[in-house]
Amino acid sequence: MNHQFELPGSYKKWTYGLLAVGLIAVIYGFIMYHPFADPHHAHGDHKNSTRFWAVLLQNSVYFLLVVNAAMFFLCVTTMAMGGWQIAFRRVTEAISSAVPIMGLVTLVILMTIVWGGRTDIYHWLDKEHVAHDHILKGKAGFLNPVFYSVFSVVTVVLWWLLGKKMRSMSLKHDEGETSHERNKKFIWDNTVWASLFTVVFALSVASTLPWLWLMSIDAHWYSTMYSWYTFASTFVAGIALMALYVIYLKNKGQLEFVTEEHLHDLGKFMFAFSVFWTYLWFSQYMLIWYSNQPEETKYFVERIGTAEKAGPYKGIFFFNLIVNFLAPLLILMRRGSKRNWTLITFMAVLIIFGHWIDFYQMVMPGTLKDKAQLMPFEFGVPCLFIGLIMWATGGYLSKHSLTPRNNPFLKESMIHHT
Amino acid sequence: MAGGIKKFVVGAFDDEKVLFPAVKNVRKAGYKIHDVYTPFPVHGLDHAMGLRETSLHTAGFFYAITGTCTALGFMTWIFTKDWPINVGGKPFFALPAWIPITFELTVLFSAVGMVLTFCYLCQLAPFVKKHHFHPRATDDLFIMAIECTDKTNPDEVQSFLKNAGAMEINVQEAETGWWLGRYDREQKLYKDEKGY
Amino acid sequence: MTIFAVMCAGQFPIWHMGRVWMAFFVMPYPNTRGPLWVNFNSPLLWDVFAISTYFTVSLLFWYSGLIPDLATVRDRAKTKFRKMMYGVASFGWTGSTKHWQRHESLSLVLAGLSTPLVLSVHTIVSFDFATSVIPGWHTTIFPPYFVAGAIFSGFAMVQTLLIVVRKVMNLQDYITIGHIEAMNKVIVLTGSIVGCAYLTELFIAWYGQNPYEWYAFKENRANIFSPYGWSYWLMMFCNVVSPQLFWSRKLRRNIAVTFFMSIIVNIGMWYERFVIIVTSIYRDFLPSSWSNYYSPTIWEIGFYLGTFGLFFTCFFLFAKYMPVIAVAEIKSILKTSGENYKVKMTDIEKADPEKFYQEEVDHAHH
Repeated sequence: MNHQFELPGSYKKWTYGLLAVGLIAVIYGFIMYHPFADPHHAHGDHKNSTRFWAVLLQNSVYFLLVVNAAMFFLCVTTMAMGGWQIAFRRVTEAISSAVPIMGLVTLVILMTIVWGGRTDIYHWLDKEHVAHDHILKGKAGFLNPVFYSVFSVVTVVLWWLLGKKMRSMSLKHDEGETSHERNKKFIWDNTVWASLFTVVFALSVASTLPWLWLMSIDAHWYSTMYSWYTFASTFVAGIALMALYVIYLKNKGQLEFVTEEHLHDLGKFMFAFSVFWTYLWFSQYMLIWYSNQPEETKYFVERIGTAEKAGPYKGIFFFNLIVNFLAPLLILMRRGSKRNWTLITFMAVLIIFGHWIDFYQMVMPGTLKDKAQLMPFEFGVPCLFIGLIMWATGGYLSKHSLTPRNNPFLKESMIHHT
Repeated sequence: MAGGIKKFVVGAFDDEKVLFPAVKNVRKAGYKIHDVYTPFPVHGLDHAMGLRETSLHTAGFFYAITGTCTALGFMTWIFTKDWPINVGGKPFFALPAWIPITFELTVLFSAVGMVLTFCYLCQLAPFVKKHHFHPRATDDLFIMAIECTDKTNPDEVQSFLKNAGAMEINVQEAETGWWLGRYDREQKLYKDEKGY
Repeated sequence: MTIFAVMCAGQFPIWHMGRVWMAFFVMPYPNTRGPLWVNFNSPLLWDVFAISTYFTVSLLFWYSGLIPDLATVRDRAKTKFRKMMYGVASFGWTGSTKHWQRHESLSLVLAGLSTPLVLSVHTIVSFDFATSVIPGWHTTIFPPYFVAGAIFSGFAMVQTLLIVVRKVMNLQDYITIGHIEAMNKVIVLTGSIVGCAYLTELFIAWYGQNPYEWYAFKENRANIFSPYGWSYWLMMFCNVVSPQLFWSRKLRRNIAVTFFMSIIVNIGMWYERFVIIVTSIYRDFLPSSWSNYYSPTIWEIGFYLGTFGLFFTCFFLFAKYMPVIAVAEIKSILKTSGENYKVKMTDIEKADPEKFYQEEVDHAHH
């Protein structure tokens, strides 16, 4: 059996096509939306300048966290001594190999926003404003360009290095013949590095990073749940992306050892984490709604509005719930639907899109207020990032064997039965 | 509830590896398997016997929906129609605050409904007594009971089972339903059973 | 354990009512005090629903799982009296294949229902605090953090009982070091999640720039020299710092260390609730009403010891009269676990993956 995948022409066509569309969108925005206009006068044409950066911020952070979720999945399953995922482990690795390029692009965008003084995105960047805003003044120890930059760069570099280590260990183990001792050492090393990544992940995605990158858009507002919520959102989308790639490769006659059983378990993950996301969504929403303190409810008032006046994001807000909760709950509940390749493909696309919308409503109300749009530009920019992911992932898939042939858990994965 | 008295040929197996081909062959030969009694759930045995999938979980889903609707409907009626109360300035129809109770009732209805349905379908209740074909059916043997119809020749079935690998074979007349009874009166103690 | 603990927990709201003879007032019916209903918007009433549902469903799940095992005990009973009692308790179970099929489906769905139910119970307990506007209580991370804490302390409590039962009843062959190690992994994981939540709370208390919130955290909790500062740090140490020992495989597989740690975690989680409740409300918004140092009265200690008594009485009765190991489930995996199975695996481990696949998987399908 050949485990070497050659990228079909159609894949390349789509990759370059999406990259081109994305680039055109960004260049169009760059020319038409005056990205370097002074944010203090962000109205009229300048509102578009805010729009340019807000859309880039939403997409870069979202897709970066989604691909990074693949590495997190790999690490936690490694630590849990999971065996079932080995049959498509290379797919997970391939998706995570997009982290460096995505991280770089994201950092460039974030740094430009922060050092370019985009106070329309992060109004804590406005020194004059902060000086007489005692709340933001109090937060200045955390919300300042230096800390923001250092923390972001260090985190992305750590993700990149630790992820690279995980991937190279896995590839190296493919070479030559293996032995009991070699396998044991491989598992041990894998577990150690996986735990290191997980700790870094907990300190970044599950806590600090979402506060810095996203929550600080609404700089006065705070919620302890925010980071776990962001994590849940991107993790379920990451699983959906993995499922998509697994199904794609299976369609192309690859991944011989992947069966309905593996698909079933991926479906279970999609179901479970969609419910988990909803649980966090409800807990955050209900607690803020219930205690009804103005400094907290502000966040939801900007989105859904009040009983008297509907907010500009009301539709999207509830659409978010339907796509990310009701649809997965009702559709993925049945055993049969989790074993249906077509249905899982549809649900995976829906979930990735749904959480993209979730990120949209996280970023836009704080930046563009009621002026946000969902026009070709908003749909063009994500093409760039999807193209980048496809480019990096496709490169990895076509360079390495799709089956980690010496992995000691491979046989367990073959006979996996749910 | 009387199910009627019928005649059975009973064979005891001590290995799944023997049991599965035996089930297959007995069915192929056209005999009617009344039931196979096992000490633990043997995966795939229901399919081998040609039983249809249970729809108990589907029932559970409908009980759950009933619970959801009951909770939401009830609270809505009480707090918007029957006796609206202003609690902390919240709207009368305070949906977010009702989600917890709605969830609890969904689960409660589903669980209780399913367990009751399960007990009803399997005819399980305290003081229920049924015929047991073999005292070791809940211990370490797989017991196959083949129903004898007018056309069946019990001796033929017995030798068939012997060839299929059964280690103990006998013919029993048994009540197929349940009745109220006591295990200490109607069943021998383990140590008094023959051969132990 | 769940059931007995819920029984203990369930009685406390009743004691807290003060007038226990009016406990039935929480029932949702239009009552004799005028056709007035209970307040469905109150987290305390959600708790009534949550705890009673949790108790009912756990009881059903527990007992439906026990029925086949009780039937085994019935059929192997040594005295007439036992035969009668287990005969009643086992509901006339025969082991029919159709019954097993339904039983499997029931167990699967009940387990599927119980999982979110566990989440909901702890979530609703956390709502009791978090829907209020008391500094230190109102924080959105409370629900998942209470759930993580519950799994954390639950595993520790199971560990405490399990190690004793395993020793006393000679269950070493069934409950292996491997099981204990796996549970310790869960403890270090959930302990770290709880740690992440503690730090998040502390950080956001500062970040939120709400002076009351920050005071509750900085002065009432984190300041070790404040009246109850010691309890915050004790909690931190027991729940976050000490479980980190379990990163070491050697310590995870050490029975004495595990037992000791399980006690530490139990103490730590008890103190978590102590910290949440006491440090948030012993100093309220009015400094003039700041209370004195709290020490429990003899009645409070009595209630506390009483729960221990109730719990252990029930638990010991259970351990004496009911099967403590899921007999049928163990039987179903006997052939695919244990040492003799491991020996068979050696050849398979050496086999070439491709060949193995052709033999095992392709073959089985045709």
